[in-house]
Amino acid sequence: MDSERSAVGTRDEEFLDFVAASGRYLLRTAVLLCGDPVRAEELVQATYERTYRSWRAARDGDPQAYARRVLVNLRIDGWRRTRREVLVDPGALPDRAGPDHTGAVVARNAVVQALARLPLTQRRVVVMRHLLDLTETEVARELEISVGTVKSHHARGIARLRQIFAEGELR
Amino acid sequence: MSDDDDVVTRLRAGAPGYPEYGPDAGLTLAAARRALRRGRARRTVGGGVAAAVAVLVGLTAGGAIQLPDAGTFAVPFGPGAGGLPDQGDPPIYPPERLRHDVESLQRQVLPATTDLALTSYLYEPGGWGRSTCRVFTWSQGAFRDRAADCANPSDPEPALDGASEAAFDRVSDAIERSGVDVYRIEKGGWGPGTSFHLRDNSWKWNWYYSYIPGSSQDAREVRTDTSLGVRLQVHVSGDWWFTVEPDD
Repeated sequence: MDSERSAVGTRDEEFLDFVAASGRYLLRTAVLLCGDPVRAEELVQATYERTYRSWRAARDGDPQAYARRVLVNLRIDGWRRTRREVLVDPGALPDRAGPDHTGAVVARNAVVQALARLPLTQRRVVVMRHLLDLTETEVARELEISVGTVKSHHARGIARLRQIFAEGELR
Repeated sequence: MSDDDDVVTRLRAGAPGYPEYGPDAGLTLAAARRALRRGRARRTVGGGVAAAVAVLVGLTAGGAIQLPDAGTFAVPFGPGAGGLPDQGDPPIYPPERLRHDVESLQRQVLPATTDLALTSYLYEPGGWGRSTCRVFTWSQGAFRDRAADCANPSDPEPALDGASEAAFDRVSDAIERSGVDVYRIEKGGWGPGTSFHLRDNSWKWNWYYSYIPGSSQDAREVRTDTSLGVRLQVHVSGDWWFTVEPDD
């Protein structure tokens, strides 16, 4: 019984350290993927819940990579079909997560807004390749798609972003 | 310099950096522990019901029984890309599971939706940084929670009143009794008939049952190519269909 309690204690202590070390990374990744600071918090929470559930497997490898893989494969955009688009009131943002970067500033960020206009898979690939600095092979493995598919989504995503940025300059 | 460099440079230069603070580790651990306990409780209940159904079907059919494992009973699909990886492309439940779910929905949930003249039900529990969101349209009008992440200021629906709260709870209780993890019901808002949408964790697919009175039952299944992938509609029994479609 004591050893069980001790194992749980160790697991929780490890997990606390992991959250402290990875929280900002995952929160930024979630914001880049979903474009909504509040939704990003929810996605990160769901990511940690699943990572905790499989903590033994996660800690045996690279826990941050494990959690990132969970995060990028979550149903990022599903909420838009179930909730109406919400006008986020910066004053109503919770203050538990980064009050500056993940609040109104991020919501107005031109790159975040441009990424949000990409189809989800293109957005995932572009974010993982260029903002998380993963290789094509790593992206393919984490999204469970082929390298060829990564390349084609990447090409289409970059082309679309070029168009979006150009539109912004014309305004 | 490649053709992409200008866009990539702009992305890197303009993207937001790391937030000043991450999530509170203690609160996150507490939430994760609660979620783990909920999951275990669900699997225990799901496993018991699945075993009972297996015995019942086994007694009557005497053949091979193909039921999803206990872990997928209450939460239909896991965190992977598609869930139920061996159930086809796109993935659907085995026939026995489909029939069992439909029987439960017909017995437990459909009567409540009919009595209440329900046209829209949505329940998304609150999470860290996000409050519960309930949307409910029935014979007495349209209502929704007015929290900032559930309603825009311009949305006309008032908050749920006492009668709507009771009616909402009646539907939620019926869903719980059915054992089918429905989080959303639409009548006339999502194709023909009444649709019962399953809560899932897949980024790739959405699944729902539809009750379509008087629908043609000539076809066993209807496969439609969409720009995002295949949409598959399978006839289950009577006026009930099951649909899997790409998550956009």
